[in-house]
Amino acid sequence: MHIRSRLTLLVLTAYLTVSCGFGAAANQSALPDLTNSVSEETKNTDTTLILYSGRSEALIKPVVDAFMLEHPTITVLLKAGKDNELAAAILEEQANPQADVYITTNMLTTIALAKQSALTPHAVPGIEGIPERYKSKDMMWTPLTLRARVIMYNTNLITAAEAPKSFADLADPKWKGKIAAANSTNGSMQAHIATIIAHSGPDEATRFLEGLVANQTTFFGGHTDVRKAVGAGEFAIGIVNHYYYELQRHEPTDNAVSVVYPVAGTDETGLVVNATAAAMIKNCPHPQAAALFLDFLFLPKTQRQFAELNYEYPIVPNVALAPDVRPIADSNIISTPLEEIASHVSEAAQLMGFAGIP
Amino acid sequence: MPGADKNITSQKNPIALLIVTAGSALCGCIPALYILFRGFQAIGNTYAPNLTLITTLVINTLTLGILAALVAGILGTIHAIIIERTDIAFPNLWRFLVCTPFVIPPYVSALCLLALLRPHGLLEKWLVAQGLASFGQLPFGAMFGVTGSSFVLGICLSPYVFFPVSATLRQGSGHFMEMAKQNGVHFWRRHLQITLPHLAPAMGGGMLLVLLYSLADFAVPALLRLPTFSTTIYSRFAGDVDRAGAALLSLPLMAITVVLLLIQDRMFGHGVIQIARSWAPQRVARLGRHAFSTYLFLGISILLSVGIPLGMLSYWLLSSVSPAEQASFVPIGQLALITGKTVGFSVFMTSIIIVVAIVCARTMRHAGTLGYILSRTAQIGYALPGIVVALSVVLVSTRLLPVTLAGLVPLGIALFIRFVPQAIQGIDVAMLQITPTIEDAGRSMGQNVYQVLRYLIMPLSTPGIQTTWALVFLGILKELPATLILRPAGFDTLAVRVWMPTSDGFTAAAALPAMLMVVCALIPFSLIFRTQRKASPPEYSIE
Repeated sequence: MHIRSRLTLLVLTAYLTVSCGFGAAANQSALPDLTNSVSEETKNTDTTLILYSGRSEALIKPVVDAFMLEHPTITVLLKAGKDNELAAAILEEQANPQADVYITTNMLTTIALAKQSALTPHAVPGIEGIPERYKSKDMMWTPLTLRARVIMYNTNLITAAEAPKSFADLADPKWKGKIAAANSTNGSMQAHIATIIAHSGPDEATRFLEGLVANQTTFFGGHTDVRKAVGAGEFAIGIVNHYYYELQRHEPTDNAVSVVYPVAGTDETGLVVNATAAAMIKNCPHPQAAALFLDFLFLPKTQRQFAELNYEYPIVPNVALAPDVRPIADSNIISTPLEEIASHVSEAAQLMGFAGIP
Repeated sequence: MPGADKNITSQKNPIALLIVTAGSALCGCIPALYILFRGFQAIGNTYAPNLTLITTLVINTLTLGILAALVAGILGTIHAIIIERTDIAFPNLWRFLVCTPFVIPPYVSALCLLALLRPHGLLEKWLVAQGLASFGQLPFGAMFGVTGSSFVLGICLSPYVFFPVSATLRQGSGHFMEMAKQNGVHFWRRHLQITLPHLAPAMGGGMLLVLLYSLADFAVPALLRLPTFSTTIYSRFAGDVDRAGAALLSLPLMAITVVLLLIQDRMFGHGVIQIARSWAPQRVARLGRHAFSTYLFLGISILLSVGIPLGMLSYWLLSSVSPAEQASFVPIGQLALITGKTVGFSVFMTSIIIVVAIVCARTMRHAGTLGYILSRTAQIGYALPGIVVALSVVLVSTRLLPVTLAGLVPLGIALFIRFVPQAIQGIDVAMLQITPTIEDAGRSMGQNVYQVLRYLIMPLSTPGIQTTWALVFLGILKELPATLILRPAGFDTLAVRVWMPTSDGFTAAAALPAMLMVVCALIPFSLIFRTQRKASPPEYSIE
């Protein structure tokens, strides 16, 4: 009896806590409809913005805070998660969209959403100045930053002279058992292989993958594991996005790492890059706020925040990089358009499967 | 009296109870229907999964599940026998300690154990620095693949076995044990020959949950580099977000689940365990000279399952962190608010789930084939990867629920689908020790079905219901995959707060929320164990 009454009490408290906690959120979402009907004429009536972000919270929260400071009437509700899970959720929500803006760390998922008609076009001011290959032809998504595929290595295990100079070098048997990479579930790895297919054909991609497998490369779930394993000295070499190298270099321990940016040349075709992107969801509940937010992401000061927070390359020209991040020349980057790369993703996944990559 | 008899049987399965069961079965079907719906879309437009891959996945996934279930089964049962049947000091403290691994999400444990025990990890580096070993000399590579994964899942999930087994031990009669004792049978042998058969349903039920959980788990095999169905299904969502391909790969996993549930029925059925004609209270054994080894065993297993994860997190918290990581810390005030919401929501959901599960478990035992099929269907969702369950709920709720109803409802439905199965499992085991004649007795005294449930069945299976409540509560507390996808924007749970920084490799920022989760685990314990006392004082030693 005693236990039961205590249980009832607990349930009651629980219900109250939850309902109080959500009172705030519910009021916020109820409010905009009211103001909407009252002031149809004002330009931006949305007071709420639902943001699904595959970019981790620590790397988007400061940007959101800056946005809310500039637009005090808009409250941004942030749902941070994984790129692909949020994208899948947006697809399932198509009948009744819940999110306004989707931010991804991997343009592949955005392009997949565009292909499945889940996005709506929006041209941010300044998009004209961006090279065609980084843009969506029909403005379905907005590129935000670039990330380069690089080779990081542990300087306690190999010297700069010994380090591989290109991805093709990784097939050298002397690296047997010494390479770490992300597995086929990883979006950046998929994009990397898709880029090779788009630029040099499937045979070249297969050669690269078979080289990795022949050298008994260890495949991890994500690049964080790769950078930590290389930093710890478990592996000499890791294939990562450039900022993972920067993150490991700034760790208090296990930071004896250096980096190779593959250069266009005899046996290498150039630097493989991936873009982070943002997009407005089709039939989203708060389109005005969504447009404002997308425009805000493209402002030089916001771009500067992306560079500072995660060592990324801003897509808007002439925005300063984070200190010590190596500048990349446009001429060195593989020239294949991102949308063409994306059309080879399923082939990339298939080739990875055939090569025996987990 | 034939009229009275007829009255009892006709009222035996009130339509309301059947409707509740049918409702939860319907919820349980959502993921299965989703898989079939999307899977059929895949036919023709995705590449056919090759057979070698499927075979590897079946072998890897089943090996992982079975080994994890064995580790959890052995650990959980030994813990339960030691704590419930000996005069061990501070039994409630030990109960709490052996259950805490359950609130630490397995992927956090895996991460911590990995940092310590991986090749070139902290331990190997220390050994090398001391000149005790050289790199590569010791088998630290065993942390990876099926060994490491099943070990981590086994120790984290052993409370799935400990809870029902200890409940059965506290409920059961000491009658047979007394006879064996009088015939001079040794302590552990008595338990092997008498207790174990009685515990079989509890152990089997618990181990099945571990097995199903391991089939569905994504994070641990992904971290420890073991390709399973879950990790491969997950990979279909990367890149071009191929929901149809993922659904197609979920089909074999669903088939495996159905087979496992059928096997369980074959092995244990849903009968009644006739404990003894005369019930005698349990007696506890004196540890005597076995005290040291007993405490040592408990100490080591708790060190591995709780000590190392919490120790590593504290170590990271106290050591210096990179500037990027500092940005991932959450202010204490906000963390307190999140803790309150997490606990509130978990208590609320757990209580709903338990009430429904009591109804389902009773239906399963009394409503013939239909009830059986309904309550079993409710259990399929358990072995499916969280992302599949979550997406199926997104699909259904965005079509059926009005926008204003959204909020926490979809998450509630997903948690319901994921946890009703284990609640039914737990309560079914608790009801095994109640004979149907008790219900008939109650009915012949003029009570209706609800009164029988309320005044007879529930009190008699109280320990089982309480432990199931605790298990479900702790499960919801740490639930991640569904919560991550379905929480309303702006709502966080502690598990989400643990996941966010760790997914970026920022372990120090995860330390505080992880420790708060362990503190939250005290709630079910204060509820369950405070009123419980040992049945009788110690009267004999282990000899």
